[in-house]
Amino acid sequence: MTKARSDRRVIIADDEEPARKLLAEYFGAQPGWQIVAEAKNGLEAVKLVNQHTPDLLLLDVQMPKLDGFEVLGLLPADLAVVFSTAFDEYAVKAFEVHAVDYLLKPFSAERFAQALARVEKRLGEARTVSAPALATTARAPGVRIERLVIRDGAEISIIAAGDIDYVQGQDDYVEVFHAGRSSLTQQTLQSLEDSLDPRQFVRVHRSYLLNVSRVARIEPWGQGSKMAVLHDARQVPVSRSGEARLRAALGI
Amino acid sequence: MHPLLSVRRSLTAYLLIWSGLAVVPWVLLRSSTTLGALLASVVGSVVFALLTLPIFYLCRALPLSPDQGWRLFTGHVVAAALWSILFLLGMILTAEVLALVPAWQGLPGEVGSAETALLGVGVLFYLLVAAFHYVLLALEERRDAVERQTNLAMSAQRAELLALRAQVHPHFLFNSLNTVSALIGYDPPKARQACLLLAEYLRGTLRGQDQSLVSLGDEWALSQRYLAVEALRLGERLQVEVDLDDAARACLVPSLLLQPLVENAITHGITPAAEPQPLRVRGRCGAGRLSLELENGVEPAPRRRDGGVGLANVRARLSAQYGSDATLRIARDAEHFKVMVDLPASTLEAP
Repeated sequence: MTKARSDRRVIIADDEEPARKLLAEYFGAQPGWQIVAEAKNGLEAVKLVNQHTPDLLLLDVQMPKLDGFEVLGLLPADLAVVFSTAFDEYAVKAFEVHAVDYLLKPFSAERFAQALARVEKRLGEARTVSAPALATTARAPGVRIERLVIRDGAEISIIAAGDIDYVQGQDDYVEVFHAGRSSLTQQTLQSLEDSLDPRQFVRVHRSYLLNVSRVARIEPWGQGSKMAVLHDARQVPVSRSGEARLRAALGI
Repeated sequence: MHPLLSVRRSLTAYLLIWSGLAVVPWVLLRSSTTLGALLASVVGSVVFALLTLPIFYLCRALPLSPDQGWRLFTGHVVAAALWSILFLLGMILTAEVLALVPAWQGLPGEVGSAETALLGVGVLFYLLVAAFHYVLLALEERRDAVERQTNLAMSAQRAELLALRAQVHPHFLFNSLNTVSALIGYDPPKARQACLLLAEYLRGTLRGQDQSLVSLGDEWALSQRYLAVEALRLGERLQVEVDLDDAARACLVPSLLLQPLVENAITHGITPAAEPQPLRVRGRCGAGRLSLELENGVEPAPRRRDGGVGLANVRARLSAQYGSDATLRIARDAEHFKVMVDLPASTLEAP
C-alpha cells in the first residue's frame, strides 16, 4: 500500500473540550487529514503553529489569552485558516466581506467537509486579507480595542492601550513606544487610529498617533509647527491641524 | 354617553340650577306677583333644561376650532333659533295647562304678550347651555389626555421591564447546541443530560418572565441549571463557590435579577480566562436588607471592554422596583470584578 501524498497537517484551536473532540471526530472521517496538535487558547495556537508549521489552522474566534483575530495577525500569510464561531454577527459579517472560510457552530459533517474541500483548492496560497482589516470589520460599532498584540521575534507581547505613549507610522509598519520600549508591527497607522479610543489617542501628525495623557506641554518648533513634550521629556512633532485636534482633546 | 346622565347627582344639580334661572322668565311675565307665573316659569325652565341635553352632542359635532368658524356660526344660529322657539312653546304649553286652575286663567295671555322677550331669553339660555357644554367637553378631553398619557407611560414601563429581564443569549444557545452535538459523538448519556438541563433552564427563564418577584433560592436554582450547562462546555475552568444562607434564600428578589449577573461573570470573567477562575456568589439577609455579592477574576489586559449592558439592565430593574432603596455597586481592580447588590429584604410570609 502506498500513500498518494503525505497527510495534510492540521492544528485545531478551541478553548472548549467538546468542540475539540467534535473536530477530532469530523477529521477522523476525512482521509488525508491529520491533527498534529490541539490548542486551548490563542497564545498556545500561535506557539503550536510555529512549532509544527501545519497546512491548516482551525481557529475559534473567542478564546482566552488571544482571540482568533489577534492570532491571525501573528500567523504566516500562507497558512490556511478556517474560523469557527457560535454567534457573532460582526465576525460573520467580516468573514463574508473578506471571503474568509468559517464554520458556524454547530455545523454538520457535510458543511465541514465542504470547508476542507475549499481549503484543499487554495492550499499554499497567501491570504489576501490583512488581519487588522478583518478585525476592524469584525468590531461592533463603537467598540474600541484595549490592547495590542505584537510579535518581537519569537516573543509575543500584549500591550494595554493605556501603556502606549505614542505610535510612529512608517509605510505599512507602525512602531509602538510603550513603557520605555518600542515594538514594530505590521499595520497602518490609520487602521490603528481607527481601532483605538479617539478620546485617548490623537493623530497629532501624519506619522504620529499620541496618547494625550502623556503630554506635559506644547512648544513651538521651527516654522509654524509645534512639538509635544511628554512627561518623560521625549518629543513628538505636531502639525498645524494636529495641534488643533490635540488642543481639543486636552481641552486647552 | 352624556356626562350629566352618567352621574345621577349632576343631573339633579343641573335641574336645580335651572329652576333658579326660572327667575328670568318670571320677571318678564307681567303678573310677577302671582304664584302661577312663578310655577309656569319653573316648570317651563325645567322642561326646557331636559330639552337642552342634546346640545352636548351638537357642541361635540361643532368643535371650537378656528378653521370651522363659518360652520360653527351657522350651526349655532340655527340651533339657537330652534331652541328659543322650543323654550317659547314650552312656556305656552305650561301656561295652557296651568290655566286649568281657575285662579291662573290669565297665564296664557301674559305669556302671549311677552312672546318676543321670551324668545330672546330662549336665545340667551341656549348660548348659556352651549358655553356650559363646551366647558364640559374641554374638561372631558383633558381627563382623557391625562388618562392616555398615564396608560402610555404604564405600558412603556411594562414593556421596558420585560425587555430588561434576562433573555437567553444566542451565543449561549449556539455554544450549548455545539456541545450537545459533540457529546452525541462520544458521550450520548451526557448529551441527553445536557438537553434536559438546557430545557429546564429555558423553561425557568420563560416562567421567570411571568413573575415579578421570586425567592432568591428559586432564582439561584435557575442559575445553577445555567451553570451546569456551561460547565459541560468550560469543564474545570468553571468553579463556583456559593454561600447563600437560608434567610437570604427565603428573600424575594425581582425575577431574573441574579441570572444576568451570573451570565455577565461567565461571559466577561470565566470564558476569557485560560486558568480556572472561581465565581463566588454570596448572599446575606439581616436588618431588613438583602445583600448579594458576585465576584470573579478578570483578564489583566482585556481585548475590549464592552459588556456593561447586563449590569445597566439590572440597575434599571432595581430602580423600577425599589426606587432609590436598592443599589448596585461595582468594585474592580486589575484581577477581580465584584458586583454588590443591596435591596430591602422581604419574604412571602411577612410582606
